[in-house]
Formats: sequence, C-alpha cells, structure tokens
Amino acid sequence: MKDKAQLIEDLKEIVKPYIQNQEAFDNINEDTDFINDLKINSANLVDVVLDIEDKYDIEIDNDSMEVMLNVKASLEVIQSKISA
Amino acid sequence: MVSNDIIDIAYTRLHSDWQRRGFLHKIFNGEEQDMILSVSDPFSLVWRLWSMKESIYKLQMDATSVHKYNPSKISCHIIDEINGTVSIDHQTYDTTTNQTAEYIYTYAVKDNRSEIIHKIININSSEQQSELCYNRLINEVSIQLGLNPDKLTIRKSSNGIPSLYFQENKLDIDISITHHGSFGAYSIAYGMQ
Repeated sequence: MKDKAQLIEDLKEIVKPYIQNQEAFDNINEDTDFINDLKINSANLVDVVLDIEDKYDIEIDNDSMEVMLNVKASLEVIQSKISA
Repeated sequence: MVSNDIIDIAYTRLHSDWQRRGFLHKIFNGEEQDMILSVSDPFSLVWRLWSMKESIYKLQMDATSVHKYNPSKISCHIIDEINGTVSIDHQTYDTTTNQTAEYIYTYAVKDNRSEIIHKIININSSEQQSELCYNRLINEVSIQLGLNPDKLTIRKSSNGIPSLYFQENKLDIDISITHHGSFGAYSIAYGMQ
C-alpha cells in the first residue's frame, strides 16, 4: 500500500502536463484544487482521471469521478479503488 | 444569469484526444455517444456538445453551489447548427452556439435580461488569459455605463461565479467569462431597466 506522500507525488506527475499555474503546482498539497488552483482546463480534467486509471490499473466510474476536483478527493478515490 | 464557454479548435486538436479510450464514456451519455459516432465530423460534434455541457455546468453551479464533475449527467439535444437544449437535474435550458473554423462558442441564459452582449477576444499570451478578459469586460462596462473603470472590480464567489462591483456595490449585471487557448470571451447581461 502506497502512503499518502507517495500518492501525492504520483498525482503531481499525472497533472503536470495539464497545469497552468506553476506556483500552485510547486506547492501542491491535499487542499489543492485542480481548476481554481492549478488552472487545469475542465476539458483536461477527464484526462487526469483517465491517466489515474491507467497508472493504477483501476476503473473510476462517473459517480466517483464527480468529486475528483481536488487532490484530497482524488486521493480518497484512488485509495478506495486500490484497496478494493 | 448568463454563462458561456469557448473552445479554441487548434488548441483542442493539440491538447485533447477525444478518441482516447474511455474519454467519450466519461463525458457523454449513450445517446450522445451514438450521435457522435454516426456523424461525418465527430470532432466538431464532440466539442460542440462539450461547450454546451460546460456552459450549463457553470449556470447550474450558481444555482446549487455544489461542485461536481460529471458531464455525462448533463444531456444535450441538438436542434440545428446554432440552437440546442441541455438538461440537468430535471431542468432544461436553451443554448446558442456560434462556430467558426477557429473556435466554438456556446452560451446559455437563465431569467430575462434586457440586453446581452458577447465579445470574443484574441489572446496572445497564455499567462494572462483571465486578467485580459477581465480588463476588457470592465472597460466595456465602464464605457456603457459611464463609470470609472478604476472603481470597477470583478469578484468571484466561493463557487467561482464572477460578479461585477462598483466600489463596494454589486451591480445588477450578470457576467460570464471563459477562455481557452488563444481565445477568450465575455458575456454581459444588463438588468431589466
């Protein structure tokens, strides 16, 4: 089981191609919001979710996806799917 | 209430791949996926439907203030090249789309407003997208209403909906701002006079 710090590092790599605010990216933490802080285009949010699926070989249904607007919620979804 | 969404077509071709595995399923319902796969230009339809969903997503956010990202729950119907309807949570809204070779622009309106102005903006530097749109909008309102632009500010609510203020007073004007790639746009809906 990966620890939270490692998961945040993974997530950082995943969102990197889509971010438009370097400062928020450099300071990424659990409270970071994908749209408001990292300025990720909403059209690319789905790419983040698909990249997460690929990275961990998990499937994220649309109901789980709907909360994945920030780091914290995404970590929770990833952790629940990995341990499922 | 007015909300809008713009899509830079060239930017989208570079940065988004609608044919990526899982992509359609995450964004579109079954009916929309069938429609996309049956047309001769699926790219344009994918991004038109996306802009319709996005404009309604913003309209809806104002009403409920709950942040959720589930575009497949927003269902679109195409009436013609310009007009469409979008349903979310048992509410249906009309959308208007203007499409050129360079961009797709969709807006939706809730409640009556006397006049709505839409402006498309070319953006050169990607760093300042929103600031540029904000400044253009403020400039336009200051001219229309004869107000000092230095005293006009745009403030966002906690759910990201922008409002226009003159000093500390919120104006009876609905605004919406969107940007993507090299394009930005703003909508201004003045109150009923």
